[in-house]
Amino acid sequence: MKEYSQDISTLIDNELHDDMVIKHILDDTESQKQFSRYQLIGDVMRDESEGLDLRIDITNSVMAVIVNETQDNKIVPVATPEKVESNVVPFMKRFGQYAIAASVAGVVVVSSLMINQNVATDPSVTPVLNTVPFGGAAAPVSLQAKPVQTKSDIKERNEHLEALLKDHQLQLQVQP
Amino acid sequence: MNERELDLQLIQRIQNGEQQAFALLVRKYQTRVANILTRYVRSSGDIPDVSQEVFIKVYKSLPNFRGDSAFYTWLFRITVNTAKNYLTSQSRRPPASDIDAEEADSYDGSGALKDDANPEAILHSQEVKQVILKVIGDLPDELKSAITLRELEGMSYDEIAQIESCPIGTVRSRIFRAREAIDKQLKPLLEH
Amino acid sequence: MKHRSFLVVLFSVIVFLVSPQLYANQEEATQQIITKQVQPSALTYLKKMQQAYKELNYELLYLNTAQNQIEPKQLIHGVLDGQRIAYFCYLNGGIRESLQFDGKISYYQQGNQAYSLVTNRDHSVFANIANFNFESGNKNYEYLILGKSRIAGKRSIAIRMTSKDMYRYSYIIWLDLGSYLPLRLETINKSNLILEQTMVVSLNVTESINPWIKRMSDQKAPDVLHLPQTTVKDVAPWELTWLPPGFKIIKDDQHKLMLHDTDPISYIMINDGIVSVSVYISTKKSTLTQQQNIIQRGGTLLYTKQQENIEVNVIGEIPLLTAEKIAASIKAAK
Repeated sequence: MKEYSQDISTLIDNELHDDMVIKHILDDTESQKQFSRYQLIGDVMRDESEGLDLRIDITNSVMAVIVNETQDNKIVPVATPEKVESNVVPFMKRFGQYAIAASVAGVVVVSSLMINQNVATDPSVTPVLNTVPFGGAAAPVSLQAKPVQTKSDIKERNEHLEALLKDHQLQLQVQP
Repeated sequence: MNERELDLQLIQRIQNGEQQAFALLVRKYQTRVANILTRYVRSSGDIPDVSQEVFIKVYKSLPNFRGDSAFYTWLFRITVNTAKNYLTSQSRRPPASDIDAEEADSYDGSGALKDDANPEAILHSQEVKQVILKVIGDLPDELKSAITLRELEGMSYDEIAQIESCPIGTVRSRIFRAREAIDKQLKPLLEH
Repeated sequence: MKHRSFLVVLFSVIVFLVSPQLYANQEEATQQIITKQVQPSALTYLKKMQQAYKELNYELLYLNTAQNQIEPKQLIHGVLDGQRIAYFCYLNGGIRESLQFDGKISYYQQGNQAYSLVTNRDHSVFANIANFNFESGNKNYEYLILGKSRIAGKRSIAIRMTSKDMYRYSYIIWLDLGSYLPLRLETINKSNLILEQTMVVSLNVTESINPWIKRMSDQKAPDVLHLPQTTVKDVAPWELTWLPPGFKIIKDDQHKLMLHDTDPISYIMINDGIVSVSVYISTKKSTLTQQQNIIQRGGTLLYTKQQENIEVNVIGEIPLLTAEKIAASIKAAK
């Protein structure tokens, strides 16, 4: 990793044209974070971070929306002329917004993954799945999960449950 | 235009279909965008959402970006427009509602009036700032000078080399060493 | 308290039934009967409530409480040329609001594009009880006046809607004695524990429609989103061999879960006029080992069960027992 650090620094300063370096950063999470921190140093020096919560990084959420939208664009058949019914938007193009349909209805949204950090160290603590009602604080809800499960299993599981809950909410919205 | 300019390199990649390159533009500009938004968005809790909206708009309009203005100028314009839309959506709330009276001053110009400032976030942000300034203060003069000329004066390596009477390669390494020293202290503060 | 009021009512009913024997003077007994008749029945109140909820112009500020979480919300309702307009908003946190009018509900949220869904169902806070057919509903619920109280500064009457079986929750509904609008709704389980509560803290009824929502109704609604149509061929290959009494199947299809490019999942929705329950059946085995998973928030239950090679998920405001019985009743359709 070390050998790229200086390149990242140079790249930030617009003093490097090297496709390999950009490619490396894009492929490497650590380098991306380093890129962010180098950038932040300048932002803080210029007093541009005043009043901001520096713990928040929106990169992943932005990229998730973008990736989603691009995929949606791909499934839309080329033959569908988009402008014919100007007031009608194919639902599949609106994945991102759909999630909100559910949420606005005042829903339980199971957070993608909020496993109690103490699980491994304290066997008496039941793994906790937080349900995050839209816009509210998290409330622990006991999940009957066995500690042998890996975090990624539970994450996948929670994502599935979340998808079901959202679908349920949507079905309530459009039920006959 | 300088072919080394990172923004253009990234935009070119995105326009060639390499979507992931956009992540670096977000990483590069998210603090600056959020900083602009603080002048408009009253509730600091809303800033991440509005920032996200800005970047999604930017991504969607990138095919139209001609490069005839600097990317940052263009980004700035989108940010301000999004912030204004945000203010409009806020005023969509009925005048009868009791929370509405406060809304008249949502554009307070300074961003100083935050109704839900998060004390933990403020503490954290202050700590980050103190740590960065402390490390810079402790740096050897030539490193301190290099990073300051670069970050605060926006000078190129070439310009800094002339001022400091040293080779460009030395400027590159001084700036890097300064960043490396700061990063060592900064990294633990940003990891949870 | 509730128990006591319940007993009081029960006691007076008994007195009423045996009164001819108790009262030597027949006149006195007749007097007793007349006073009983003056008090309108629970059903009468409930019907008045339904009419008021749909026909009046009003603004409600209310709190939703479930699992120690309180969410303040606002509803403005108005009727314009016989058409209802309902505006809803979360009062805390990011702005999330909706406007229902003219067969559409539109959602506005900070940071996202606004959009509409086509719907003819009322989605506002008390819609479920406001649209319930209490008359035919008496097969599954009993209605009982509990007593009078004061909510949001208004004199109100509490009516308990008790489930006749153990497969659904019971409710207590408080109505404003002035306007008959609902002021409070509690979902309670068979141990009389409150699972969820909606409580109005401010009620304002006006003669004419709120000018602001009237103006909103003139604006063009955001684009309509259409769900992918399902066809008859897409009927779920599974069937429920048991339904809780009073429930009917109102949807039966296969569809992909939104946001997740999954294989189509078999879907059945059942409804008893108050509660809608979703049943999802998929063949995909979960990676997790447990046979059963229960998540509950407020009255809403999410029950998962792995059986043989299918996974069943039941979601809705029903007791665990009901979800278990529904899941156990699933058979491959013939």
